[in-house]
Amino acid sequence: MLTAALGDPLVMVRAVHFAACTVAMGTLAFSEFAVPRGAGLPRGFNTMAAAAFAVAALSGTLWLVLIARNILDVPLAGVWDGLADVAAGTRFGRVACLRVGLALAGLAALAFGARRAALGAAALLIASIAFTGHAGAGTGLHGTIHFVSDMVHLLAAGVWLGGLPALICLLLANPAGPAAATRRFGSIAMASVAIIAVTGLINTAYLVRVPSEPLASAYNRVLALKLALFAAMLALAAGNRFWLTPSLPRTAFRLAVAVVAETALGLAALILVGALGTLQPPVSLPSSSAPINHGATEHAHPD
Amino acid sequence: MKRIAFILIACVLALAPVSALAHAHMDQSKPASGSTVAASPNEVSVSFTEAVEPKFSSIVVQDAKGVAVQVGKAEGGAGNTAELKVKLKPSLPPGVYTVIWKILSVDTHRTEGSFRFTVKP
Repeated sequence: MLTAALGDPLVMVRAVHFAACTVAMGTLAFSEFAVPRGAGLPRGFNTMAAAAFAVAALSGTLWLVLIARNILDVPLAGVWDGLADVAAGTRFGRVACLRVGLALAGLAALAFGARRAALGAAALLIASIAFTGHAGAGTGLHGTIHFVSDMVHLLAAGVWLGGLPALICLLLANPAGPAAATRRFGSIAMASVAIIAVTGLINTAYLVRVPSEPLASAYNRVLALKLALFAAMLALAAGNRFWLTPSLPRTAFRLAVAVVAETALGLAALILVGALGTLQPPVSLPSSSAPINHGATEHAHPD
Repeated sequence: MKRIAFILIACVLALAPVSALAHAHMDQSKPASGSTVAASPNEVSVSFTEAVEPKFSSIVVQDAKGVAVQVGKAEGGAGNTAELKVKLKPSLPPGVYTVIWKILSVDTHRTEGSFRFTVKP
């Protein structure tokens, strides 16, 4: 099932979209909060953020098309007839249109040099991914808690993971090593990791029940892989923060290599997140308040 | 101290999924699944574990011969995004009725199921 999930075009489109939203958020947050005032931004920052917004708009549109194909249960060529119905008639569709609009707004803001407005668009773009997932489908107080936790989780992940390419750009552009910006990013990353951990725990509490066999479901196996990748990323990040950064500028090249490795692991993790979204988490047993439904049957459609 | 904090955070991070999806399941219904009602109900309402999309969801109610007895399309519950209801023909004769529901949850996953109830004055 994992192999099938990874071979699903929807998984890769989601992964590319998440990566693009993450880079847009992280690059702009890096330039706003990590780069000291008055320091110039390396060439490539604006290009990277603009490219990220463009890819987010394109992949977001493709995501909507693929979901519409699943909902309408038609071949891809036949999706155009019902696409407007899905776009206007489902919450996912309306949110997808809004999010593509946000990506284009971010691109326009960058074109006009309105960097903070672009950061605002990037923040809304990545946080609104929460509308498309399980956290956004819940109801009541717990639904709201899960939803808010997911939005904060996404923002923090955007700042940390999305800031890594910007850090690589900075390290490679300046052979002497931008010590101040790197240290500030390190501190921001630490705070982001703490937020990711807390909100991750909250999300887990709502999605994963303690199973008798931890790796019995495809969802748990993919999640275990993702956790392993995060553990490896954190090990690299810890080495960067406590060993390589204090020794800048001497360790600039080694730090750049380590951050590239961290980014590659982060990309792999985003692919797994793309897969997780198409698999059923263990919280599949209904929390029904009714007695056992005699004669009732139920099954979910494979997507 | 900072290193210990970082390692602790790393361990806690080991429980961090992002935006996963799940399927909506039936939570309750009226008439309740497997129940016997004395009077012919005006409608069947089903509530689910997640919010659903009424435009892409349906409820069909069949009598013992497989003839549909619902009227019109299923609609969302007023003020409840996790509920779907459909009106029934008036004065249903006694017998066993099967409710077949097919829903699209707002996180775009489809689920379907069925249950029965009996009308027995």
